Amino acid sequence: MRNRLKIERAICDITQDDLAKMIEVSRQTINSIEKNRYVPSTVLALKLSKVFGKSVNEIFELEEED
Amino acid sequence: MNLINHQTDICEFERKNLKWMLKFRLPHVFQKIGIAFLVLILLSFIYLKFADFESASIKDILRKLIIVALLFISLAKDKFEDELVIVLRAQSYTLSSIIGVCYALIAPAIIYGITSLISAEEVTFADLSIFEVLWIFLTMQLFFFYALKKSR
Repeated sequence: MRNRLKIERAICDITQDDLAKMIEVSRQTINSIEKNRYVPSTVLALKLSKVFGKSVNEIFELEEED
Repeated sequence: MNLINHQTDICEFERKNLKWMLKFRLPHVFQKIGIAFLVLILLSFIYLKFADFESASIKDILRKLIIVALLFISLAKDKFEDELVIVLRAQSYTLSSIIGVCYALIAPAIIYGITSLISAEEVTFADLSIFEVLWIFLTMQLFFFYALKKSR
């Protein structure tokens, strides 16, 4: 699964640490999501969509192998 | 109708209890308590060795305390217990269970085979003790948990 988390974060000028605090996870979790090493739960995906004011589909995108 | 309601209640009770057990974690401080316990046990073993004091019951108690200390570390919450940590911990339990079972089944046969080849005397087949199985399971779980965390 691809995601635009890094891009969205850059647009909003938010650091990984700030975002982690906003959605109550560790900075390591944000880093893992951005590097596609971890697929977040629906709850976390919805929290991220709320922070960026965009739908989950706009941030996360399925790839062919998914 | 009453029977259906009763069955629903039982299912709900089971679900709540299972959820509680799955979410159960010790506070983070237990990680340090577990490590301190392990150091103390190790020092006790060294002391017993140098004091030339052989007591099977004391060694047995110390072995059980090792398992308790490892369980404290295993069950202690991480500094930041978020969903990634929960997922990694679950993965580490899965891996350690598989490896633990395989080890418990294969290791005695390998030890028996090698000892039979080396030793001139007759060798008897012996399964692993409960301590050895639990030790392998818990150390593997901790190893995989920290390895998975580091690889993220």
